[in-house]
Amino acid sequence: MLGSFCWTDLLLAAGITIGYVLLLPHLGFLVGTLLFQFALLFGVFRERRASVVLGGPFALTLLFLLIFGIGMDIALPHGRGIFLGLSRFLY
Amino acid sequence: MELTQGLELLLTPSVFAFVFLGTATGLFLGALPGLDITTGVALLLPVTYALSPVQALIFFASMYAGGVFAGSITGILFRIPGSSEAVMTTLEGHHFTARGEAGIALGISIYSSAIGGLIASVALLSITPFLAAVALGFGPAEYFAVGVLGLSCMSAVASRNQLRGTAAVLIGLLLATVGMDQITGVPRFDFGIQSLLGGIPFVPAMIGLFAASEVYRRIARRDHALVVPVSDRASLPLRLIRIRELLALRWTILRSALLGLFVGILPGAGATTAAIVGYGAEVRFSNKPEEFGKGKVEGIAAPEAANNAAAVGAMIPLLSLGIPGSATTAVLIGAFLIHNLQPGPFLFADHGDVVYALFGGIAATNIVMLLFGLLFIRFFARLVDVPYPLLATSILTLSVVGTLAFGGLGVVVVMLFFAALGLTLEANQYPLAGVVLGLVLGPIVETSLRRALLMTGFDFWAVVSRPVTAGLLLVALGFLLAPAGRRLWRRFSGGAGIPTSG
Repeated sequence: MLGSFCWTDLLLAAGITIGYVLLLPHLGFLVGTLLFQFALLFGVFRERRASVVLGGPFALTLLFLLIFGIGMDIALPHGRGIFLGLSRFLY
Repeated sequence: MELTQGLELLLTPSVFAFVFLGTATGLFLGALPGLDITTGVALLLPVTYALSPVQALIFFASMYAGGVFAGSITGILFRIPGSSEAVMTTLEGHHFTARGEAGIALGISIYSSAIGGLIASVALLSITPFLAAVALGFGPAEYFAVGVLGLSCMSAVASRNQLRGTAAVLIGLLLATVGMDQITGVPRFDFGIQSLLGGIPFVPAMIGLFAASEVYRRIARRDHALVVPVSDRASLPLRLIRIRELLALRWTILRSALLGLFVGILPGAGATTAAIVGYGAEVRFSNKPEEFGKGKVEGIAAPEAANNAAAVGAMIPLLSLGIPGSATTAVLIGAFLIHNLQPGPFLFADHGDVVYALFGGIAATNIVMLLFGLLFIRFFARLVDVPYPLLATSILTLSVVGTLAFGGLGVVVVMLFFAALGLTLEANQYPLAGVVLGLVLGPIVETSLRRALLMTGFDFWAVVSRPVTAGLLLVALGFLLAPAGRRLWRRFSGGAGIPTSG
């Protein structure tokens, strides 16, 4: 059954997710999520429309930030260094 | 007299507004994966300082009922159970979305939840003292038997392959042993990870098992369409459930509501167990059990009626005995205590009007929930038209961020582990419901059996020979043997039999 899987796409998606989880404490939620969504859309789903690949992550990240970070006050990672400053400015 | 006073109090605009506010808050929080309704209630407890006792209690009761229903919305649409109570609905309901019939599944879910909740509300008002007395008589031995009965439902859920179903339950039971032993306090299988000491975090595990694994499965199969494409689907009106279709479900809803009510009354059993037991019982009652798990209307109506009835039922031991029937009602005790109210028999004597206003508020919540649901059902159903890449990206982000709400990155690792587990099990046709059953019922079965054995000096016969325990265990045995018996019957009567593979 597993033979019919497209392993390349699956491993790429899993790798991007693991990378996202590992980089979250360093990049913070804002930058990390933007990069994560861009990588999934561009690399896994092969989206090439700029409105989707660039606009989608911006809109979604902002939405999640509003709901979880500001609305529900969940402790989203702020990141380190310059990313910390950016995060502190927004949430 | 107190009933009239209570209803008058409820119908005061400043109080009744909290039925709407609580339901809306519950619908919103319940539909958000990563924030279960228990956490939501806990988060909003400080808000009650500014409210009167009746406003606060009605707000939280409405929020609880609304949240239990709302978990099914994302479950049906995106296979993300917004709350643990929606696990069985997710299993059945997402098949409707894949067929382009999300409106039907959402409609059944809304009506069944509201009717189930209303039936339980009537019971709450009329038979609270009797049912509370029955539940009070349950000891560890009876809880053990209830747990075994729940596990035996797996034979119904996995009627197509008993062996794989049993294996899935065993995996769930094994995972349920992770964390601190509830009796001796010894850490088990925690691998030094602090977030595992309290056991497998249930909601992150469910997010991984259902939501993230589904996205990875579609990515691996390059199946990037949430709904099976129909050439002119865009021009078709959204199909909702018809009244006669709903009427055909009346016995399913009634049965499941009563069953859910009973399970809800048992302290600790909760609405998730009620949904599982309700679903399993419905499969048993069905003439076509093999159709469950593929998108059958009864498979949504039963768990939805059961879990909402259980949410109301959980209020019965809380209000009459001061014992919480679920995790959420345990948190709700905080709302009572903030206002110097002690749940229990004296609550009826000292604040009868508040109790009856609360009863009325819970009943009204189900009607408000129905109104909200019907108003927004088309909006919810149209969410599936969002391009799948954007949806998948959102689901994976939600899975990670929602999981972060339950702890640090360690919990995210647990979620990813369950995503891999779900992907592997589904690829090899093991039912995910079995893992859920084992995970939910494992602690109940294990702890209750060990407590019962300790109380009887490790006399197993003394545990299983108690009348209620023996009765429940015999029913469980019947459930387990029924598929084999049915196959034998069909073989001897010349029938085709239930398929045993796939």
